[in-house]
Amino acid sequence: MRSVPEIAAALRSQDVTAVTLAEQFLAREAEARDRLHSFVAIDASQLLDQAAVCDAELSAGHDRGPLHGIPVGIKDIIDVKGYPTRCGSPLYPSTPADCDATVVSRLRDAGAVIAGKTTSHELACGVVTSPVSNPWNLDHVPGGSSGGSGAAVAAGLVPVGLGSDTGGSIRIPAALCGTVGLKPTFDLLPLAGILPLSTTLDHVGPLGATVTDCAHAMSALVADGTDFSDGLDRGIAGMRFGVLTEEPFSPLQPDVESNFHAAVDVLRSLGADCVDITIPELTHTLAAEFGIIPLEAFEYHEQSLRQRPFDIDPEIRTLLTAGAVLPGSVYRRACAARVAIARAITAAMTVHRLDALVAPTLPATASPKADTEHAYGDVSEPIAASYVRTTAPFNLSGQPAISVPCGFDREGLPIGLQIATRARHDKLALQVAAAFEQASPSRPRVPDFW
Amino acid sequence: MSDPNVGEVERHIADRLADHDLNGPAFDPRLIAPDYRGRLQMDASLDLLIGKVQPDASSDSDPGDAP
Repeated sequence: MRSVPEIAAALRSQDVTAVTLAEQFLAREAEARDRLHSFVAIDASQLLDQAAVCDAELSAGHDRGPLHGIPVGIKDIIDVKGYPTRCGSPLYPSTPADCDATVVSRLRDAGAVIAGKTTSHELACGVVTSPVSNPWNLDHVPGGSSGGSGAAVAAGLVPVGLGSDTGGSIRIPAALCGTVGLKPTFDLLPLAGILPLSTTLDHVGPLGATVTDCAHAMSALVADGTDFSDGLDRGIAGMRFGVLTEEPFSPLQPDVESNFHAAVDVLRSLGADCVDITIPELTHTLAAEFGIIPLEAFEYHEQSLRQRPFDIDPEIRTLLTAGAVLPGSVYRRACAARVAIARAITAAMTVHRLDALVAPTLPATASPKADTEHAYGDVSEPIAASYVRTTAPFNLSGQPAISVPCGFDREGLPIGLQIATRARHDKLALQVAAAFEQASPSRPRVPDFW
Repeated sequence: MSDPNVGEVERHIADRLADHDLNGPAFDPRLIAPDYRGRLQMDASLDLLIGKVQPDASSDSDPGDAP
């Protein structure tokens, strides 16, 4: 029992209580803690109190919906009342937040029980999330920067975790850990109470064990009455998808490439028309992404950089310092490039009459923790650039993009399929992902973590 | 954008660091220069996408003008 609908049904049939779920979470997390490191803070008292309230409400006939009584992990850059927000950094104090981020407040309103704070890569600025381990192989990274949420969901500790995504930080751990992860449309979800990295590119969104789990989380997070789980079973017959295989979606590890093409065949078998397309502007993805982030990150962290530089990881310190010393034209040109890339994607989708774009979420599976580069034949590439080049296009465009598991490499590490729809078509992204998930031969596999 | 030689790059970095009051061993221009040069090369590659224009270049000397 690990998905939201399964748990929700068990709660309503009184096969389990929210308190029992909370106690099970606490026991399992304690058992996994030294191997997984997916949570940095858990307030057992708060958790059990919330769960008891949820049980009482259900008993009284007050049903808040699918998330009622279900434990959810919150990335530790997102404020949760009563918890410190440490952001994976010694810069931030142990003082508890005095109120919830808006997205957390909305989850509580929907009945979710806050299980605790999940580990974030320092300042949400990286793709590794040390010391978290990947449940599929503890010697490999979970991805980042929402690596704690990815690992926690993949290990079955919680069915849903919240993450943030500036260059792929929801979809990267989702793909590497074999979960679903949705970066919603830019600005669809409020960022109040969340540490910024780059205000032009930041998004918040869910990671879930299944597409349905993410859909239920989105219904709670948007909180305007939209049911994101409605229509997930409509299928994709008659839809038209653009298949992205050229730079930056090349080169790929061979197993990623073969699984991706098999995934496209699955989409075709479900009645979708899949056509290869090229968007040359996307070759400039990293120049735009890495031209925007330093200055915006420096603007936010300037005081910390000046006063406590040695409390910042050297690589992140270099990035922040770049924001201070680079000419302003670098930032402005990157912003212009972002607009050009977004327009090019929109134009391609219009010209080719596309409902969605499909691409590999990442060019590589989860790296061993000690590795710093990926090898593609004779070419090597720094891990950060390698993981970000295939996800960042949709941070630049702001359109929704979801990663759904689509297979495994020869070492048994998960691979993700990425589906991007037009802005505000988040439900369609979930619908396509759900159709693929139902048809995907790899769907039942879970890590042999326990 | 032209690629200044090493000495010019380090002097520029030192000036910009001083502008922001970023002092001390954490901010050695010699250690920052390789990353800086790489970022300028990446920026130059954008000429192929947006041309050589510098949008709103009037305040080019001030990097602290993000929206």
